[in-house]
Amino acid sequence: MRADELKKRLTEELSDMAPNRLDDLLRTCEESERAPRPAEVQPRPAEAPRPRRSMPRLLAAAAVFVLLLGGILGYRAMDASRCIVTVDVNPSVSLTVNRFNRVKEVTPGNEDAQALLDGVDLTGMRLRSALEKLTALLMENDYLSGTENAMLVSVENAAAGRAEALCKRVVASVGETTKEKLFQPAVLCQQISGENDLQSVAETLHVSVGKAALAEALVAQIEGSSAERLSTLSIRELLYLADSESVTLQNTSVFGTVNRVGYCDRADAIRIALANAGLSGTDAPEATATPDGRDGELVYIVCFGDETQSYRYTISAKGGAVMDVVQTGEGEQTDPDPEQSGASSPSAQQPESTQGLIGPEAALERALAFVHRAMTEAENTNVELLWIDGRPVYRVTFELDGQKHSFYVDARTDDLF
Amino acid sequence: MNGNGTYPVTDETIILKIADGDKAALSELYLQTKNAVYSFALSMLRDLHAAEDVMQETFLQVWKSAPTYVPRGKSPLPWILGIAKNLSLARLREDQRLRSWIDDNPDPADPLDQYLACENKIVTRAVLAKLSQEERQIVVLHVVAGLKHREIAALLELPLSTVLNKYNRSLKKLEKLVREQP
Repeated sequence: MRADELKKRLTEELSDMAPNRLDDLLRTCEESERAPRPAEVQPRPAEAPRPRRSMPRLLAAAAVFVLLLGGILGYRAMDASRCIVTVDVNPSVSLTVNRFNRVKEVTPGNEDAQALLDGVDLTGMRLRSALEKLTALLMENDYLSGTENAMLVSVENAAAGRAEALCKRVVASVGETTKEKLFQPAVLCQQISGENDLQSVAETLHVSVGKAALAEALVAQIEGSSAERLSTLSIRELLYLADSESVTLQNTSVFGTVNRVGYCDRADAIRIALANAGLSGTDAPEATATPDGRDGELVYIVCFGDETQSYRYTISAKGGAVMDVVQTGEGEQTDPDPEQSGASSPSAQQPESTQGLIGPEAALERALAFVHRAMTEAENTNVELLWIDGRPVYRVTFELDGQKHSFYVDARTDDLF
Repeated sequence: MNGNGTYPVTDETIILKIADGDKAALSELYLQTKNAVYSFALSMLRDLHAAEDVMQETFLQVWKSAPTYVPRGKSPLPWILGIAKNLSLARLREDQRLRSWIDDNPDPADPLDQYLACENKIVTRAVLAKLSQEERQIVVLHVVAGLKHREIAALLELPLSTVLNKYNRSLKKLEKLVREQP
């Protein structure tokens, strides 16, 4: 290929490579201010020919000044272009970064985040370093672990290409840090718009914009629930829900797998409910289970029945405990809200003696052991002995890191269900 | 770049119009010269997204700095490309080239993952991948932007003889690379 052919080919190939973003440019120009004029320069009339002579030093200096000014102001313009990266685990932390991925501002989104960042300054750090530091803090304070390995990352105010690159950077930084503790995080990265509607939803629900966006996206594909109820769930449960329900989310990428240990899915919930009702799968082929949020817990609402009676069970997704049951039709009875008084269930038969049963403290220990936590970590604990179909069962409730947990422990066998 | 493949033809009056706040003039300048600016930024940054950003910032800077432009009776293209150069250098200094944008492609010597738009653009790929940074810039400035070698020497702060030598050597390299393409 001759040189002129080569030049022609290169010209042709590059002639359509530059994207046309004229609209963006004009919009930005309207929003920006003109550069300050160091001095008015009167243009020469076009018809006045300029004598040929070497460039005067003054003009050369002016040209250098203009180029330098262009560089500095351009850098500032780049610096001014910021986006927000919010990391939600339970603490919610928003990092405002400039175009060079330097953290310009750190905003804790809740009290846990404020406590986490007390005495820690991430501003001025490169995003990678800030994320590594943040991840280490989350692990030190047990917000992030092999068990609770879920993280929601929301990128706001960034073009698609940049949002994707930022998500990859977050995943890489977090993954490097968690590797030391021998676990992989599950990260759901989403690009959000930061529109006013979403802001007001987040404020109403008292959650971050990212969490509100995810809850709304899940509700759009899971019938029967609401963003208000789903937004009370933990990040782990939201990611578990997105994964187990095979939800398709726009502008979202998922890296890693959320820890599902201890969680049941729709099919499990149906099996548990049917077994509790003394039925098998073939007895209720039309049984349905719908995920929902209840008091900050992921539950399944299981419904089944026939012409004569119907059942509505609430099954905890974590552990599969039966939280309540409503039976209508023949032998109609409603299991009163276990939070009120489980012992008044019409199906209960209270024996005269409680000898041979494990104590309430043992039941609490059993439940805490299931979630790998110690007695000292649990708050607002409550253990209540119930009799369900003649069977002594402890209903154990407690709070860990602000999240409520509820389990049923067989008072005779120490089995958890 | 014009659709008929000729170099961008601009004269200084367009800058003077932009200095008066004429957005139509800015639009005209943008459409005439964006390819030259983009190609030059790409030759320095070797990243499509970064080149696009620098291209936009360059014209924003032209808009802001037009009142300070000193007319010289010549094309303003070297001035515009000078702004693009400074913005690209600022980017490179802070960014260490591509690392802050794409984590999973740390080797800047491998262009294939980055230059997705260049899949069928054999000569462009060769230019971007196989030439040194200076060679890339010289070729793009001359072939795409239409700058004379003397103007390129001034912009890149190189001796004229260096620019001429590198240009000729680059073309020979490219001829060889294109010939070896399957």
